[in-house]
Amino acid sequence: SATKSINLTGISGYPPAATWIGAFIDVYMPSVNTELAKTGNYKINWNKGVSGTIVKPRGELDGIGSGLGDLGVVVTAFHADKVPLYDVAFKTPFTTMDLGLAVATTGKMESMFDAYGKTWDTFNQVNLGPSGAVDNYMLWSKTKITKLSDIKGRKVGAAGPNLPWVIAAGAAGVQTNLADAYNSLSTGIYDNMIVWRQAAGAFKLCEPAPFVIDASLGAVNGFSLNVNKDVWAGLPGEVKNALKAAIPAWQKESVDRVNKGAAGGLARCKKDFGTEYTKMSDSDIKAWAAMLPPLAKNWAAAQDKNGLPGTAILKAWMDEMRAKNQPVMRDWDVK
Amino acid sequence: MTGLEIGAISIVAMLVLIYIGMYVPIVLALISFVGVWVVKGNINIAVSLLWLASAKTVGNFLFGVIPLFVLMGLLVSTAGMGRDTYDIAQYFMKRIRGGLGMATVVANAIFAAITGVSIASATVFTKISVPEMLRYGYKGRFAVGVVAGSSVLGMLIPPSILLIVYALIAEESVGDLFIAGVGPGLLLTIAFCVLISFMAYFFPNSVASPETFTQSVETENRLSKRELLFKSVPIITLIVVVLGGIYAGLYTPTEAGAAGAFVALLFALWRRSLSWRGLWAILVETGHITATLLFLIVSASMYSRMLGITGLPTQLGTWIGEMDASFGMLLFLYVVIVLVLGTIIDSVSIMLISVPLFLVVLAPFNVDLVWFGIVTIIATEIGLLTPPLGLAVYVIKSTLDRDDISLADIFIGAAPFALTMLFVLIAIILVPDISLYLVELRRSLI
Amino acid sequence: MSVIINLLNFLRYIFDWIVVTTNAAASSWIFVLMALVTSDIVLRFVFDSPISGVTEIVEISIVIILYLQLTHTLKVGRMTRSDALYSAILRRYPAVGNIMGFFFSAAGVGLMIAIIKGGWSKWLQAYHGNFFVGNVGVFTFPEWPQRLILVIGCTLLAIQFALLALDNIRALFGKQPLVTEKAVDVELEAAEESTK
Ligand code: NA
Ligand code: NA
Repeated sequence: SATKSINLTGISGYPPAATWIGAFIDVYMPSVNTELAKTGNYKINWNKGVSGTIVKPRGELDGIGSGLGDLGVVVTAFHADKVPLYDVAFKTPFTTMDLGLAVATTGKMESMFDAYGKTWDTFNQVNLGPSGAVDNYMLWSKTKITKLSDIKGRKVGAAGPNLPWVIAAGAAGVQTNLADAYNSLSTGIYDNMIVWRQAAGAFKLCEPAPFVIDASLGAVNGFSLNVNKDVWAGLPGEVKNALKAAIPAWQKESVDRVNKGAAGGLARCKKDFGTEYTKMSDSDIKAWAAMLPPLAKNWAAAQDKNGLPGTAILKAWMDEMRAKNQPVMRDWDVK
Repeated sequence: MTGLEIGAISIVAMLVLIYIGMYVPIVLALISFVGVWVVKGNINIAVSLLWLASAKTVGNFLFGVIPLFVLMGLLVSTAGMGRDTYDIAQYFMKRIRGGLGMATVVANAIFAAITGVSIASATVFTKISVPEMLRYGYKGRFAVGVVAGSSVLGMLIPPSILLIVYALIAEESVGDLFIAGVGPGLLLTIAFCVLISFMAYFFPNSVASPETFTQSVETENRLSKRELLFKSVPIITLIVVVLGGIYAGLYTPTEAGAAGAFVALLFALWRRSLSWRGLWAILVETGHITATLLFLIVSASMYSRMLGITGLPTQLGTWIGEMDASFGMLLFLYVVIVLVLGTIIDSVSIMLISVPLFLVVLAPFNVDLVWFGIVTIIATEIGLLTPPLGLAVYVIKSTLDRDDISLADIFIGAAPFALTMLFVLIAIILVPDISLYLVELRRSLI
Repeated sequence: MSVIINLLNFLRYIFDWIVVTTNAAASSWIFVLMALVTSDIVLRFVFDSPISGVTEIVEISIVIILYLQLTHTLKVGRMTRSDALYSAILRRYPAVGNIMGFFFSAAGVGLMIAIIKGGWSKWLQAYHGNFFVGNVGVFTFPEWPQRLILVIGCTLLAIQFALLALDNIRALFGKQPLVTEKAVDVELEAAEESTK
């Protein structure tokens, strides 16, 4: 029988240079087509609406919901108000440095709690699977930091969700983003920054801030690959299955890119800018974790209040991390 | 319909509607709405496009540059800093043949470093330097031509609203674009001075009456060193606060706009040139300019998103690859389109229509978008001087309010300057380093 | 009949008052914005303590300023257009010009209605869902006010476009336009003051 063509527009505000979008364009889209080629009934013509051509960064949620794009990658980390259940990793730092596990556990939470799917439903979209870009947040600085008490009184640039971490350690948190970071570090708007290694390398942040301390702050999930609900309803079953079947390939590729970038980024920083890497002592890490307010319990209580299973998700998340023998520095579900 | 067909039809429809006088943002919104409706076959998606662009385009810290720089520019004019720059330039230039004309050019170049709007330059110098030149026997046509021509420096030398708008559309660094404008701005300043000198020696009758060149020009109130200092300090302070602050990396362009506006306000208050009523008028005017620009940017965002949805960018990429058009050819086409649009459409609209389209077209060539921005700005600004709609010329006419100098006189007077801009534009296209040298220098320093 | 005309005139008065007031609010807000960002810079450098939430406040403000100011901008004739040809047509063939003008403004009404249609559910969703901008524990601000102001701004703009369209209709029948307020070019005024 003849092959039927289907036009699909994939959207993102970010360019293919971003690990998760590179994986979306280079691996996810071809994988879907490979899957469909097995029977040859359908073929997808991809319109690659990335790099902000159709939506700006943070606009993906509305763009997919309204149908401007058929599918795309929503940055859940930016929508703590709309899809708060994805924030559990931000509320439980010092827990795991395995991005693959953070992504897989997020997927597990999605299948355990139907509140996840219901939340997406209110935004007129269907979630196919999560992913992430951060294997381990580290603290980069202009002058050397060797212990927890060194952080006190410093000006530290951080994205919004990371700010409470550094503020608890006595730093003045300055909200920032990756695009401004190089300039801000070079010129002293802040002298320290919380960022993961792949980004530190890609944005050359280790040039102005050549000292890095690893406090095992940990990995976070940050994305969900979603399809517009009406588009989803109109797709043939075989195409739906192919779109689902390609998700593990996207997840693996995006995590691989982060891990490769982390190793490569740190190596390049060491070679080009003499970056000095320090591991914070376990006792200091424990002390930092203990200094934080009960971020996770507060978060869970707020979700519970809105009728979402916050406490249950938090417990399931931490149980999974303990079961997988992760270096859990604070039992966030207890205190 | 394919993306290419929709793209082509949309451009024709857009030009027709704009030429016959429909509001530009409404044209862009209408075309985008219909385009998405046709492609998606679903009116709700078209509605979503309008809302999404309206709500999600300008809600970004960077867009704070618009109201803040506009406010600064208006406060600077009110504080009398235009008059000051002219006095300073005149102090140094008046003994040269054609010196008053050159003083106007140089004053505009200096004033450009503290204002971001050419209209401000045009109004201020029409009031200040045209009467002065006429008094010393310069020809009316020449006097207004010099003011019109040199007013374009206001938006080429940083800070500049046009550079800001380009940076926002092309998603380039405002700081890089600002610094890229310096070299071309100085080149154009020199080119204008050379032009005036050339005209004064070879076509003296078109510049001034013969007596003007024989008498040694001596303005009655010569500036003392003390007055010179008094007049320079505010200007230098503002340049340091705004541009120094950005390039030293002390703050972002948005913050520089706020700091600059604040300092300009202090000078205006210190000189007692600002009444409550005056301040209020300035704030309202800032609001009008801001709303106009932001609404244009919102509507242009609708248009470029619509193009993305039709798949035009993907298609154009393949198409250009196949037809093997050279980069030079495409760039030539671009400049011609911008110049033609410039005859009748305002600068910001021209950029909003042509830049997104050509960003797509030129993407395969790895163009330096900062350099492309400067090319765009100069090509667009030539339109300020060309009939039938030349904004700088209109502003001068309405500010001048004299019956003996007609609109046609101003267009004719500005023509040699427009031509000079064209030569400078060619030079900047052929020698990208004129705009990029400082940018790369800065990139290598930090 | 005269009751209806009086009522319409009264509504017209109310509408103009709202447009001028929203414009005044937005204009003042630009000044506040300047003061806020300047204070942030000073506090950051001098006292090492940046104001939290300035980024979010500026981002929200830009949207609010745009939609509160837009209608007045149209009202005083400052919305961007290329009216050389249109003015010529209006002079030579007033009937043709007015019909064109009617359609220009009617298109504005239609598009504004579309944006309102899209934005209405969005502001309600933001309101009921307690959506916010910023970060928990640092600075948060509800999202619904800017969504609502977008709807309000577009509604005012739709009404203003409708009034302009009405003026074209009136002109077709030889009547004076309802919109008489003359655009005051403040920039020229400011420049004039500077040259005194
Ligand atoms: Na300037
Ligand atoms: Na022109």
